[in-house]
Amino acid sequence: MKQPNLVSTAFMLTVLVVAALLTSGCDSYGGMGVGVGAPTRWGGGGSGPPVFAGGPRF
Amino acid sequence: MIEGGALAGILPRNVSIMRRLTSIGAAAVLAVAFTLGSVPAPLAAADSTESGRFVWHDLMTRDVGAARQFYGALLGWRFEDTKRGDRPYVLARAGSEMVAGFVDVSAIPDAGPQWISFLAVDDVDKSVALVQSEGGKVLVAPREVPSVARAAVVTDPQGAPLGLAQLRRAVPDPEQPKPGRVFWQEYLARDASQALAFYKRLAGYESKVTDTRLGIEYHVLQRTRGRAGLFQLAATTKDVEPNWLPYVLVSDPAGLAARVPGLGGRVLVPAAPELRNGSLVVIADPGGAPLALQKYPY
Repeated sequence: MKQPNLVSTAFMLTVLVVAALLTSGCDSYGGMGVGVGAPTRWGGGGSGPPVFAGGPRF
Repeated sequence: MIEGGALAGILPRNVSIMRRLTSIGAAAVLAVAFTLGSVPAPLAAADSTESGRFVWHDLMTRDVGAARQFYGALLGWRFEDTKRGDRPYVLARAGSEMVAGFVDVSAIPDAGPQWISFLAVDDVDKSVALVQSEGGKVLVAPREVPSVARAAVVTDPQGAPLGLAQLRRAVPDPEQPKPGRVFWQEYLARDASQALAFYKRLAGYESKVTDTRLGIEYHVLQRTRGRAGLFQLAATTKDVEPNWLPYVLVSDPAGLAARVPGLGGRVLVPAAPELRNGSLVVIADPGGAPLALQKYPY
């Protein structure tokens, strides 16, 4: 019985690894990317902006 | 069917099918192992998925191009075109760090320009059920965002849109805020007591009042540390409905605000000495999405 062609096997391995890494890379981005249909909560009327008290306490 | 498939042409002809299958199988196993090895360590840091953190911010906009120009010029963000499923999704970076995403909602009826901030929760399905039981609504039912989170978008009992994310991976939780990043969130409530009770149930917050000037109680919502602020809108404020307002850390809010009109945006709340010592401005981008620019400490 002949041995497997190692060059071909290595080539296949490379192709599969690259494909797997590319797929993984696509999933590695951050973010949600969900489109939301909801109206804006800030209007443009004349009652004036909110009064901001306090502030961040990181 | 290897022989008849696309791979057949690159396989050696003098190797038996079994040999080929063995080789391909081994390669596949190695490839999968390699892939798994490239995925970040799952949830290694103790506080990396702590519920109550705001972990992501997506801009809903009807003009992605205008948003890119605006935020790139104002905050120095750089952009990367990606996809979520079959839809375009623009990621924004501050330096090398991804800080936000832009979603084109021009095809979605009633979608107003706004930032949607995502709150980390332990179990997004249970959180959505809690929201519904308390009078909120589901805008986007829980869904998997591969390798990132199981996410949903809701409106809370006061109508404020909010993203919920059950994280699948650790996300950075810096000890100190970084310039050009969203570092704080503020809830502008119509009923502060109701909102406090709701968000304590939803995210396990504790709260403390840190300021009562101007007759307004400012509540800091905290877990291991402060994560957000909450205060009640004045009864005379009619144009603003309850919402989560994201805060970007900047060094010169007034200077940036001066540039906003020239970039196509508007200044909603200008810097003023009585307003946190002039350290805060609230702007709207060209599409109308509000965003706070804050110097900190102030």
